[in-house]
Amino acid sequence: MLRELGLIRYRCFERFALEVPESRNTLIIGKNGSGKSTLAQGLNLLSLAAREPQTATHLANSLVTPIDPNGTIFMVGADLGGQRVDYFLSLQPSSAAGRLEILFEQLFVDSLEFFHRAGREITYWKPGVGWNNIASAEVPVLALAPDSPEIEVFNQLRSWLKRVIVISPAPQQIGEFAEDGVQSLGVHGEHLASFYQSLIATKPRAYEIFINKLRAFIPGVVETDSVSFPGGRKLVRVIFGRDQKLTIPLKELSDGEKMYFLAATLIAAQDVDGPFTIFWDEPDHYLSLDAIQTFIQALRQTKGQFIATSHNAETINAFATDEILVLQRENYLSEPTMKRVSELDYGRDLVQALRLGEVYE
Amino acid sequence: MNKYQFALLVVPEDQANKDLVIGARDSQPNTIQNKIRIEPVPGGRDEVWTATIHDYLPRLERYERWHLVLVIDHDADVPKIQQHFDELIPQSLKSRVWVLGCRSEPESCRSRLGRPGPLRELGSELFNSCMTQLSPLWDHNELNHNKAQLESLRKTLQNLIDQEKGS
Repeated sequence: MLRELGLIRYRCFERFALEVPESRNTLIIGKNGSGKSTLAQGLNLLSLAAREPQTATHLANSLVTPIDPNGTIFMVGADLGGQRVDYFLSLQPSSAAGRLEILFEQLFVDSLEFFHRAGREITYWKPGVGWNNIASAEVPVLALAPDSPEIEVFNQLRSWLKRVIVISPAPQQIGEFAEDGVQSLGVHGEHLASFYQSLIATKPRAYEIFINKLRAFIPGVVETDSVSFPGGRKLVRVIFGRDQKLTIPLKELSDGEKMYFLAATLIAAQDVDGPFTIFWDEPDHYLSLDAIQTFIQALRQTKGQFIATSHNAETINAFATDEILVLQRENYLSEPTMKRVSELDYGRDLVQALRLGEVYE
Repeated sequence: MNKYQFALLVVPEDQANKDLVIGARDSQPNTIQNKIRIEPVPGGRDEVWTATIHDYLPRLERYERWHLVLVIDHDADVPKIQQHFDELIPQSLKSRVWVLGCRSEPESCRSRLGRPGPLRELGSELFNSCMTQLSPLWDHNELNHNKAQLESLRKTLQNLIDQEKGS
């Protein structure tokens, strides 16, 4: 479970830590420009680092803003197997134009340091042996030197980060073709077809959960299918109607229907392959007002961790006050601060207080 | 939300009662969770009755599968709540409307029950397994006035589950 997410010198954050409440479900609210989506970017960068070996330069391509010349630090804290694991990654521009390098990496378990990298110097704690030092050439982020033994906690952290799904969907980028070998969803949902196809191919039980959820979200849906094309591509389609069939490729669904397809896929994934930590930036976007509460509740029901950002009253109504965090930022020159809603004086109705701007300082 | 299907609209008086309701909903089987709709907070007990009369009762008249639960602070005056229920809810709708709530208010109730955690967790504890066995917490003086309403609500939800199984 994600417990903390920190950013130092990145976009509006000079030195910031998001402490996630104990609940499995968390909602982050805040005015436009308060940094909600930036938090998603930071978490996504760390998740990308765990998925495949990446150099600092490759990794930074996922960011929308350049790394700070003085170095940017990304931090994540998680409860893993009863231990608190904290990981810090600091990137800085390299002397070579257009490149980045690792300034340092650090890994702590229950506040004790296990791993440290400063430039090319790597130091790690080997149980039963003690501290080891390696000097290595360019090593990917979140990895020891290739010829060194793995550290179990490192594997746990990578394994958990791979199961962090950061999603800020752009329906127009959701295509209809599933490609072989693509297993990630993509931060905008651009690989949804591949993620879905891979899920039901590797975990067939997921299909029943997926289709039942999709039928509940979209009346008239009967099933989905896929048509093989040369090169291993598969066209993913949704079939409506029993007597008179209407077959619609995933790409041609409405924006809202694509969100239902995405949510049904994630819910099925949580059920058969979870737990995942899902960070969904504005899950209510594109949905009709009457559908939002059911949609959010369906995501709350899953066995993993669900973190959302939102401005929508229906979504805010679906979370309890101990689950809601407020990002506050006075203006574009000030740094955001985070508070729990339960610490604020909002009167008897949070949504009304938000609408009237009373919650923000 | 489908106006012709079973729905349980829940109107919590304020944010604290809403936290209890969210926990209660989270603790239900998915079949029931999906039928529960938490309505906006009116902000006070009188406002709940006003919203009931003007917004919810006309809809219950129109949609026969809609049901209503009001979650309000009883402010140590349980007979008055019962009186309001008897006077304001038409006989034809009484079987589809329930009133629940703490004898005082949620924060005091939580402290008297010795549950220092979030109200959401108390809501979950109160309603967890409520379809089969009520939590002993309902015997506490803060909550024991709810038992008749709870039993009636439980029967309605059980009928819903049975219908869903049969369909």
